[in-house]
Amino acid sequence: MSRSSGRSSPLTPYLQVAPLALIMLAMVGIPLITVLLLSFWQTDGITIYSEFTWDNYAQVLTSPVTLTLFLNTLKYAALTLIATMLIGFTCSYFLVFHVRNLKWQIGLFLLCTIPFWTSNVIRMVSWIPFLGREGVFNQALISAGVIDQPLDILLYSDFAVVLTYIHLFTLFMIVPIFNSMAKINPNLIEAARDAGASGWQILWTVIVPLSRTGIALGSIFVVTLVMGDFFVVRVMSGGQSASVVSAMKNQIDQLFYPEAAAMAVLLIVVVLLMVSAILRIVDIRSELAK
Amino acid sequence: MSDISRIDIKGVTKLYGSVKAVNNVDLVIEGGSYCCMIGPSGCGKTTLLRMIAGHEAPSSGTISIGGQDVTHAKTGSRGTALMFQNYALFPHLSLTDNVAFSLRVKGEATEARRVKAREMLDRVQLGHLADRLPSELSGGQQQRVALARALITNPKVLLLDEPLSALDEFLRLRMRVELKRLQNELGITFIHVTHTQPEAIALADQVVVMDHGLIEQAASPREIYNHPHSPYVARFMGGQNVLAGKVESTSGDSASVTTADGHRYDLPSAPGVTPGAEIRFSVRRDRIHLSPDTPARNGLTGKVINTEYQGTFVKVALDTGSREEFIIYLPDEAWFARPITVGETIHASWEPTASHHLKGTNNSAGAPLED
Repeated sequence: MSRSSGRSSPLTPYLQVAPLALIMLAMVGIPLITVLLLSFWQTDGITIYSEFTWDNYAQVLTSPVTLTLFLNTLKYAALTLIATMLIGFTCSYFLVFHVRNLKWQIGLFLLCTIPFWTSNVIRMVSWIPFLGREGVFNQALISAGVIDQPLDILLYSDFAVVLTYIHLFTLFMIVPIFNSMAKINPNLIEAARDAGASGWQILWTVIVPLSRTGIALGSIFVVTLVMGDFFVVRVMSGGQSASVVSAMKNQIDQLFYPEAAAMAVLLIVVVLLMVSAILRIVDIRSELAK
Repeated sequence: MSDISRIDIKGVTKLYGSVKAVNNVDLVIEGGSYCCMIGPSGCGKTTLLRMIAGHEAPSSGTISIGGQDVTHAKTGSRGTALMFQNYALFPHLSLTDNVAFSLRVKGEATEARRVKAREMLDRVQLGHLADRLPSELSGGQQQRVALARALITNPKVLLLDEPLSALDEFLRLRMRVELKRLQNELGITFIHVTHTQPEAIALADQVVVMDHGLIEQAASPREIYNHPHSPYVARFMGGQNVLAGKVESTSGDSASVTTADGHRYDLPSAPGVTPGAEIRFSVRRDRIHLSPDTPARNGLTGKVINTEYQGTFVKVALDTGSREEFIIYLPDEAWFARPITVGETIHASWEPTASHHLKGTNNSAGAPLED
């Protein structure tokens, strides 16, 4: 390295962040601003007029459907979050504390990623022949004599939606939890044991608190993914349930763009509130800096 | 406080696969004593310590504390507390909660345990930092917290795994004094693993020198230093030169030994020093006189290859033609009265009583740490 590169001009850091900043501005900033503008414009169902109005928000906020949609979506998010957290924590715990061998750890970790070799859609759709009325699972239960009639709640139900979410998003929980668990110094666990702590006490007083950065990061991933989904809801509920985004999709299909935009802004606000609540519980930035 | 903190180790072996990390070790550590285990890395000292703490189970043999067999007792219920080398403080807990941890897992109420933890922190002079996180402390302070956390369980035995190795020289000496003071105050058994000879000599009532999973010698520091069991102990603990030769004759309380290069030495007689025997013996480095002119009877001749001023003495290294340097600690007055230059040939001599026959056969070089 030449000496001159050490003597950088005050502009250097700005130039260094410029490429990413430009991409973010073009790909995130401009569309967001467009949505925001659109949400304040008027429409008669056919044409959109660039004139300011609160009508779209009034429509969205006064409609009882909005609350139902949000509650339904939040229910999916909460159920998925709880399940992925439990599975993600357990898998990570197993990988970090039981599979001590690094080669096995990497091997099993890659195994977790195998579902990602195909697209989301195929992974989702492949549940249908399994869960259907004449599906593999129902037939197995019937032939085992557990039930006489096929179970209807398995497919095209909230159960199917949440199950698919869990299947699709658990890895997003495993990776960050694994990452923060792997950083736990094994001596800390020995120190806890030396102080007389039982296995459960070690789990609750040492491992869970020290994995919280990973849990928080994973929660942000899962919550934002579920809140932003419409396809899984549409397919796996068989059109019987709706989420915020699937309702938005309907509005767009009917060319109610400004109303959909207002709904989108509301959703962004809600998701931002949820993420900042998570960040308030766990200070991810200071934990990651360690 | 004596017998209830006495430790008996009988025939303890620890296998890792086919490697014997600790090989059939017998050791008695008196209650209320300060015991230092010393040896090069991989000698099994830490494994032995961890077996006493219960973090490893012996492959065979028994460990008792205060007459109670604790070989398979649960860690944390056997009256030991371990202080880890890197302190292993919980990074997410304040100092108070770190120290109170063992009370918390016992189910003590929050307020009660915090009061006790603060008292313990006061005792290690950290009461004013009680609400800080470990990452906000210096290495020395973290160590005191680790000590407080270990002591709050009222252990019968405190186990210290290289407690001073992460500190700088100045702090190390200060903490060394503090550890000794604490041990005197508490009257419990301290077992301290180290690889630093001066630390062991300064602190211990009993020094346990280990090599390759075996105890080479377990004795008082004075005994270890003056009467090392084997060439390995003599070299590892330092302060000694090791010479080898064949016993020519014995008469009364002295024996005569001839080395391969023809030098003759007198030696106090000892069991095993019989005519014809090949033996090794040590010579205290600080009991050697130097003279430039005449070769003395009980001495050797060599070329000075290095001199090092150490404040109270001067370390002179001689090349005597053998593989090992012959080292002399010369009092500083003697040296300044007649300075010796590198390259000079000089004669060293000593009283027969400065020699000691090394009974043990372990002749490995160890890793003598010069201070």
